[in-house]
Amino acid sequence: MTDTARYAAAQGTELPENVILRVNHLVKEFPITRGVFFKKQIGSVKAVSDISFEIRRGETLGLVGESGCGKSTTARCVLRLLEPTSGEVLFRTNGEVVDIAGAEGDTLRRIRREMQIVFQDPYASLNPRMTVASIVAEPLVVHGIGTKQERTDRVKELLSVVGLSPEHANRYPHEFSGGQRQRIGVARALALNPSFMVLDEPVSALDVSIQAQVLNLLEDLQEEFGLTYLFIAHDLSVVRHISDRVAVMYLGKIAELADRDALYERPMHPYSHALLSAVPIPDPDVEARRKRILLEGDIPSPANPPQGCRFHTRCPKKQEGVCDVEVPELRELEPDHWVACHFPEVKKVF
Amino acid sequence: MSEMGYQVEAEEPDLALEAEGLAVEPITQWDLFSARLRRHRLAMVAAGILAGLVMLVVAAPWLPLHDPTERLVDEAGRSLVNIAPRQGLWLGTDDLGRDVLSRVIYGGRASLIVGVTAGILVALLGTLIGSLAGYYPGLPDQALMRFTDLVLGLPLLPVAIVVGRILPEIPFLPEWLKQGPFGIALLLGFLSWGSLARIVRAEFLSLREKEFVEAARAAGASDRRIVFRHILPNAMSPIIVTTTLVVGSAIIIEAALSFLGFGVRPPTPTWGAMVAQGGRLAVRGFWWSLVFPGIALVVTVLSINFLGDGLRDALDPTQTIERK
Repeated sequence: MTDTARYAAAQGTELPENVILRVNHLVKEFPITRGVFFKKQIGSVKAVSDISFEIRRGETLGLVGESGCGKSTTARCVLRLLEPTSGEVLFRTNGEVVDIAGAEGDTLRRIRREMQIVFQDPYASLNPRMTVASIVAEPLVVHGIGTKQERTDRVKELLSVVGLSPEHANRYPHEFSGGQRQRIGVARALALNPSFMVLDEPVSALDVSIQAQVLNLLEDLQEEFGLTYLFIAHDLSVVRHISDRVAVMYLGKIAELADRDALYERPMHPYSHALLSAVPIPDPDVEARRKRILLEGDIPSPANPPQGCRFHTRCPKKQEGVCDVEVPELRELEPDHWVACHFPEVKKVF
Repeated sequence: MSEMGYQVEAEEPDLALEAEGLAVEPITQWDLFSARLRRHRLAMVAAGILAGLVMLVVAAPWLPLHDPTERLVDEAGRSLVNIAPRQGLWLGTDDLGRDVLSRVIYGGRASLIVGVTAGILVALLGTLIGSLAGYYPGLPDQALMRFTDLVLGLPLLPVAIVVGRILPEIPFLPEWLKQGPFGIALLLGFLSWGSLARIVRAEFLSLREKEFVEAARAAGASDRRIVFRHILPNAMSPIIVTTTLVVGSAIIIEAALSFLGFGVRPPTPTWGAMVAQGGRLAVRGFWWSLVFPGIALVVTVLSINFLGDGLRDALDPTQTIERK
């Protein structure tokens, strides 16, 4: 039994009414090839190794982890921007449940109307040769929605929804600041009235002062349009601000998955302890008394992940013969608090 | 879609901008492009020279010129051979008594036809092959790029000479292909698309991974839309710039072929052939037969390259118009 099989089994095979998206045993490996003409596969980067989670309607699931742990790959597999190696992605749309990982042609196009993405880099995510109007209208054009006039009206409406002026419609992306560009990206994502949105580090590239504006905008939009978010970040305070539940990823696996408050108040996985202890606290007294948990070494290569628990090479609590042999399962140790560790322990780091 | 009646202050018109007359003019890519190009002085001068040359070459039959193949004689019937530039014969005559001015202008026809035709062919072939290789990784990419390597590996001049020699011997080919500048243009075009294909492929490889392409894919856009709306427009500047360089080098290579005697068949004048002939005359003191076609060749190729430079800058969407 794989480590997330139990999680998947515990959730049942049917999608409960309040669940909009369920990922089951998602695996994504990128082949490493050698040779120019006769390509030979000499290995693979295991970016995402058998993860399962679900997202409930109207909630924000935060996905955190350090760079390269597979957060963005997970999101791109969910949206089918990457082909998953295996696993399923069940998505509820108009009362029916579709497996995105296996959807083709028209079905896939139909699902794409329901789910959109906002990217990290507001400079790379807008085509420099298109006006804001044509960028925001593109999803409408692709799906053949509305007449030209209706689309123009819709673009103006969307621009004001995200706090831009409709007059900006005829300008080009490079005429805007990072925060404004991110708003354009949000407007584009909203164009099709999606029910589910992936936010791939939407504020990481912005100034701190602008981050709050964009986060508040995203929260307002969620309330306004009943959106469900998968929020990817490596900034833990941002995740705490916006998420309802949080999943911590390490090297392609979920280490801990819990309600936001449970995770921040009572983290159980040693990796979560280390991660949370790195969050600065805006109180010099507390900060001075607090002890940081420093991890040794670097994150191992995902092309050659460690045997047993993926974290054991850096874990302060690892025990020989257990952690380096047996893969820990994701277990529900408290209601709705899932941990993948052989020796979990509640530890307050805040 | 009125459920989105969400009002924000920003919806009010931006008064400050409107007062300055800066608000909401839809500026097209073309407006931006031409404004940036106009700022580039050298490119504008080059464009002017080229425009003048094109007009001259097109209008040549209606201009008061001697026939470029006519052997001129004076009133007494003596042939006007190797006459230095003077009134009426502004650029002198060559060793057969032909008007150099007329030959330079008519020679420009051959050069421009070769340059432009080869350039268009290279732009089409290079873009097509480069895009296919860049957008479809794996086998198509491998096959196309190895073919490109093969074409790039051919030594241009020797192959052009050999094929140029063989072509007229093939019976069913039309006459214009065997003799005129078009045959040479097509030959050069088919031999020089390789570097453009590589450049286009590289552009596709990098643009394909850009987030705006991913966004289009997430919106459900088709491959065709992604290629034509998102990737190609962003790859246009290297394509246009490389093409202008190809136009220049095709003119040079045609001149080299004619110089060596393998180009357009005499007596049709071309700059290369004139330079070859003028070289022999110049050592005897008749410099005008060499210098004028030489200047025409150099100025034309330089102009094309400067124009290419200007186009590259003008096609960069992030360059502002304000910069002086």
